[in-house]
Amino acid sequence: VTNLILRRLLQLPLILIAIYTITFTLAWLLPGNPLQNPEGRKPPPEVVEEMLKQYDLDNPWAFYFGYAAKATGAHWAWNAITGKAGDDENMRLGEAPVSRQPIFYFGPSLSYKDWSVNEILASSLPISVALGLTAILIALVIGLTAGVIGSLRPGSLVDLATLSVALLGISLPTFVTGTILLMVFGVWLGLVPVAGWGSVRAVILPAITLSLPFAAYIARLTRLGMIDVLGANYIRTARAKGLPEHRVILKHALKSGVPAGAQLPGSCDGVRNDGELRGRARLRRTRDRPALRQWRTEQGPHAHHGRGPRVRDDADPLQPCGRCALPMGRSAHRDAAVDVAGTWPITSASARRCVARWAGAWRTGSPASDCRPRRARR
Amino acid sequence: VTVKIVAPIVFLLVLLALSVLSDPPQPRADFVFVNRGSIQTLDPQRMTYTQDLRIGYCLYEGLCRIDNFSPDWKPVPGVAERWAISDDGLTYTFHLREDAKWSNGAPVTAHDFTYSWMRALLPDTAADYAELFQLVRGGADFFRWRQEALARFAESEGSGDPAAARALWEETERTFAEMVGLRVIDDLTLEVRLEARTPYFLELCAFGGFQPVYRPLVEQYVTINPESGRLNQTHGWTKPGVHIGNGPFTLSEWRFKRDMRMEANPHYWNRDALNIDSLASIEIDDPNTAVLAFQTGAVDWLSSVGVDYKADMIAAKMAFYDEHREAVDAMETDGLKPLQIDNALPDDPRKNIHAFAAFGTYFYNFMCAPTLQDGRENPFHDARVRRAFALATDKQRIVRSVTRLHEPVARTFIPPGSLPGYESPKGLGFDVGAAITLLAEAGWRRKGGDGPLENGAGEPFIVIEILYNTDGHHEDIATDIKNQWEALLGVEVELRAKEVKVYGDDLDNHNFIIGRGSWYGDYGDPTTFLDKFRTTNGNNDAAFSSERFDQLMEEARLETDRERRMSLLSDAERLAMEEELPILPLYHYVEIYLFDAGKLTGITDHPRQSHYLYRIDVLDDGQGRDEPLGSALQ
Repeated sequence: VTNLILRRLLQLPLILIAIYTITFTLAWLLPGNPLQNPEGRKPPPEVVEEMLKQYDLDNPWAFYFGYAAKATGAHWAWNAITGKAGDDENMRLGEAPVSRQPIFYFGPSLSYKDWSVNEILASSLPISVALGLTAILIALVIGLTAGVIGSLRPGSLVDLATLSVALLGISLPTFVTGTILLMVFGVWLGLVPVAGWGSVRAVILPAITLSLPFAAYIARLTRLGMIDVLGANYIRTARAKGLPEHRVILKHALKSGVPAGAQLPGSCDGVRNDGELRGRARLRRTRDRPALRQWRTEQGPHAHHGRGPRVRDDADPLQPCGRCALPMGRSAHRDAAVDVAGTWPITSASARRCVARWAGAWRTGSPASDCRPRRARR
Repeated sequence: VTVKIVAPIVFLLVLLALSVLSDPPQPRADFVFVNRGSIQTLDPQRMTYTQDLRIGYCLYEGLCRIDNFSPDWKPVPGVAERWAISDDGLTYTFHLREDAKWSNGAPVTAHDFTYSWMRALLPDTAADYAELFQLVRGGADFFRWRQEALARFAESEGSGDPAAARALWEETERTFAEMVGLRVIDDLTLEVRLEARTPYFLELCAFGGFQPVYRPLVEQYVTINPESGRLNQTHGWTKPGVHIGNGPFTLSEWRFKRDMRMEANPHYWNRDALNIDSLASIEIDDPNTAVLAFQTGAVDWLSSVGVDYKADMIAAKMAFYDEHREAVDAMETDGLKPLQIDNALPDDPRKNIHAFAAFGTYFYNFMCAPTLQDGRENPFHDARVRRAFALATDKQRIVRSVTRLHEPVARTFIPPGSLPGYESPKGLGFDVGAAITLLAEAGWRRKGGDGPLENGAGEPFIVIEILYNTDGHHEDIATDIKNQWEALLGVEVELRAKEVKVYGDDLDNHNFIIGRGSWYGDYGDPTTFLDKFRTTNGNNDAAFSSERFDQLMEEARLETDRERRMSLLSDAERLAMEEELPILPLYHYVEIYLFDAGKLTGITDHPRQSHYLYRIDVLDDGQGRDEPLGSALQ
């Protein structure tokens, strides 16, 4: 077991280096000057040359190693050990400002010149996470409730209704549902703001939009699980003993019927991959929230002064490094974590099963195959 | 069981509450707008984007400002309360006002301007607009001197030695003072000597890059690299709470890709002229959401409508005018401006849609070099062929049924009427007959009268390739032009769609036959457009070279009489747009805004579209002058 853990932990940096190298090479091979607007007026060549020097972009080797050293913290550690950390301060023209360079420094953004990639991540991640968590929560509440209600009278009008709504939720892309919700609650009813962030009201609509497909999946799985369980012998026994129906359902059936649905968030494609980050691709269209995804797939009509309208935003070459490395690095970390967790001696059988299930779903990447409702324990 | 289920939910709720509550919304600003795009930088010397410049004019103030409601776009006093220009037009003496202050209360002095302009001229800053500062005497020499000095330093033994690097910087400052024609006569008097007569120099002094920065603050974020001797500039100083400016507003909030908020600057010398106390710019990435935000009142001004149904909005506005045709016609005859007409008409949401002419042109480059990149002979080297293709392009059809925005069709490069005192040439219209005749003169005839185009030896015309980038409606336009040329001229046209960086690279390397382009003017002079066609200009993508054109431009440069100069420039454009055709102009841009002109004043319909937000007045908000449109300024 220890062996495996060690092996995985050693592999991790190698995988990250490979990811970094590939991303870097691809970014470097892109034609054109990353600092220059491809449309319209060009600065004189000597200015362009200086622009590249400013960001070490005139020398791929210097950039590759320099960036790696700063991003991994090696640069910071080296300076701290050799006592060079103060040198920068000595070479400052004015008094030193309060803030200093962070340990892991991902460089300045090439498009948003006043921001470092660290600052951008720090300002966007909390919003992504908050949105994702709310979406999971809403998906669970809606999904479980709808699933249980449907399972009580299979084939009834209520069941059909929840099933068809679930089907819609699964098949409609979020930019359609999002736009509809936005029109109804944002524009016609005026209950929530159309754009912005910072109040509970502003979170609700994007979170609901994001949660709908997952809620639909959860509802379907819960319904199946519950139907399965409600036909089981022990439920019949409970009913025969004269237990009121609500106690039968809430106390006995739910316990075995629901887990299949409740575990879905861990294994479903979108949520599995840090749901909100994936889901935001579409969400951007429906609700404008300043989260990570916007920064990663930036598109929009931008005009450059004296350069004609730009239809596409920047291709920021530092950003690919940051923005690819982030999700890829996250996957690598998670894989390792899951492997390690999977081998950990776990006493509780159910807990181990749970971990194995999550691990399995993560590794295979198949969303629902391993989330089939389990047979009820008898 | 209950704990198992409830605990994670409570945990999630607490996390969520923390994340949301740590970020509470602020009360709505007096004026809220959506800018044209995300802000790239608040460093005036590095700004190039319209949206950045717009914020720049709120946070900083240059020597002068532009009166964007006057038809001739007049420079008016800013930090300088008056100025004198020498008879030869080479020396400008600016007298700064005593009450001009930074937002921390410190006085603005002539030193602030020399420092800021030096920043723009340093290779270490690599300012996009460094070229404009090189109009100042010695500017270009200084740039080159510093570049060479840095190269020498990196090779020298001093490299790596902090003291040597510092000495180099001190030498640079001394050299700047000696070499560049900027002289601080006293704290409030600045003398600027120019390389050559520049009739638009005052306007440049009002331009974003010429605004000053606060040296004591900026230098806190500058270090010298001991190896290269270069300045390493970080931008912590542009953040709220830290930033110091001398403009009408101060920065109180800037959250990445979210919003920016500004409050009136109590130290601004002209504080009483402001009609609002705060303004906010919020970022909405999705164009549809932006329109909804305007409709729900969350936003007062949407400064660039980017939705797919833009054309339908224009059509709706036209339909609205049609419903009130008589009244509209009557007011037009009375000489009322579009915004005034809107205000006089009955209430209707369609009134809020405004299409304004912009200072830019959409065009196709013709490759003018004798041979193409692959070595083939280039038929477009012959000006007659270029002229013929321009004559055979129905531009009306493009603005009516392809873009559907009814932009003004372009026959010239400079949008007519956008420069007072400049008379645009007529340019070429749509005339297929003339096109066929010209092609015949150049030796190209359609086989059998309506077959493929070929020369006397029966060789077909080359397959024309149209290069464009894969965004927006460029493909629709290219497809339409392909259809037109194939039907009217019997040539074969292929479309070459490329990713924008690749496209830009191809244009740069003259690797195309026909290449899409667009151009916006930077300042109020014909040269901001026409310089592009000079043989040696770095933006001459078409590889155009005409001795006569270059000569006319040179004569205009040396001409001291304003009227004569304008007429020489007009001759140059006539040559380019009626005979030589390095480009095929298609249409002049329009910009679509959403705002209620009955509730808001201060947004100009001037074609150069630099909006000074300090002139914004939200009517009936109990603040400012609250003068309705039509009076005073407008």
